[in-house]
Amino acid sequence: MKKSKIILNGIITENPTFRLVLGMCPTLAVTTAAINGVGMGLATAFVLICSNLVISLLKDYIPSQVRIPSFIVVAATFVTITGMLMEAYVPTLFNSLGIFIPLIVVNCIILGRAESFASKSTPMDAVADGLGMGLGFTISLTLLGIIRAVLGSGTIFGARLMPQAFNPAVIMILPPGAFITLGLLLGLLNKLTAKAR
Amino acid sequence: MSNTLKIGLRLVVVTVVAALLLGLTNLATQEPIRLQRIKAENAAKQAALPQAETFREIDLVPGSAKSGESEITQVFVGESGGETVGYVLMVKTRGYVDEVELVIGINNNDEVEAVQISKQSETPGLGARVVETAFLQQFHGLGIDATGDATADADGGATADTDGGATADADSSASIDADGGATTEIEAETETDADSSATADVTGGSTADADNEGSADADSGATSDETGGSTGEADSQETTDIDSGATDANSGATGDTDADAGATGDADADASATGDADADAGATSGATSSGDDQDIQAISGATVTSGAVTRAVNFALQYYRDVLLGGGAK
Repeated sequence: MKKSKIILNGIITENPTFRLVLGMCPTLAVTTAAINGVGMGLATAFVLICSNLVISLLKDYIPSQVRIPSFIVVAATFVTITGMLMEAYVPTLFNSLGIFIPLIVVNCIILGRAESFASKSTPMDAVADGLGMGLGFTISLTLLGIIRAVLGSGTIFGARLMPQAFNPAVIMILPPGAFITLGLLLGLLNKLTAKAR
Repeated sequence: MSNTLKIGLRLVVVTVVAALLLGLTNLATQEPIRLQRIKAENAAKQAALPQAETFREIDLVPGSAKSGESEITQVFVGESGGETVGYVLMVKTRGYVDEVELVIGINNNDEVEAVQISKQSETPGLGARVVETAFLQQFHGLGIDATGDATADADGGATADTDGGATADADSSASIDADGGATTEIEAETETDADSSATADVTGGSTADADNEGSADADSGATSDETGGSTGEADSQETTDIDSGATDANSGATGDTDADAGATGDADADASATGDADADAGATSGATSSGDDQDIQAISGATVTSGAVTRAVNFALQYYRDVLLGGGAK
């Protein structure tokens, strides 16, 4: 399969958030601001690419009986490395993402792609899949973060977008706002793709 | 058996390689992480007490560093050119979601220089707004003579915080040194959510305690107990209505003590307490203090967290007054 097709598959056709509906915990929790969406998306993309590559390389070495614990160890290793690097070099983002960085380990996108794609593909295809899925996740989280932050606090990437007179709908940056935004986006995308078909 | 062993060994190899990778990363990042933490801590201390050039940690006094939900974790002496220019206190308190950590700077005028929130995980858009400058700036200039009233205004932020019966506490304590060496202390506490209570403890030349409780719901009777000296007289009057309450306590023992504690509260979670005191310790001593001008406006929608931060600052001031000024610290 062509690498570009694999990447586009992760971004559009099998977008992890809007199509596969995976990784909902960080999707709902951290998208109170667009920058959090970008940060969480890129951190997950890094872990996805690395874990997909390593799992693909080790697919013949890891016995199928212990593949799940092995995948978890691989993912946890990269998540911990990501956490250490973020704390050392981007502490502001590290503090704002907080507990959700270690929780990338249990993000089902990681284990899902390891099990359904990386463990059955060549290393380069696995990297392309990690890149596509990671970018798809990043774009989705950023989109959610932009909508919620604009309506919930009148800002976009920390800069004021709405006029001072705008009264922010605080519910948008609370958990119900995450569900409402995600639901409406999913509905909208379903309607658009149904029309296209 | 051998197959099981083989599977187990492969898993061990995977975990050992993972551990090695983690060890190497830790080796590479531990110094930058340590420097980042020191940098963040120094920046918070510097922001809390800008006039200080260096900070020297001093020992905490066990038993005095914890009060209810607030706990002082570290105290630093801020120095500039070898002279003490103030103190920085690291305080932990309980917010609505999780712990909130504050860095509080107190200058040589015995006033709060600045309050910084170094760590919080409160609800974005609500409790997390306590980091806003508009809220934190209110603490600037808060002195130990009137350690603050909290006016919790939940208007417009109607949330579960207030609707659910959360309370906004206002603590006000004023310490007045009378010429005769007597100390008069007034503590007024107001709890909103339809109830308002005010307590005034007055210690004059001998002893006079006045406790007053009133309900903000309606004009209601209140109890007032006073203990004077052997010849103490007690006279208490209280008027409480939905907006205000006032208590007068007069006690004559070896001196006269007047205490006036007023509390206001309404159903919108609006609370403030004022304390005025006149102390006459038998000789010619008298002092007046009012906490009325030290209102801390809670952030709309962040009533619980604002209250917790306010109480933590008051506790830091109390520790400063009792321990740091009182000579209890080394």
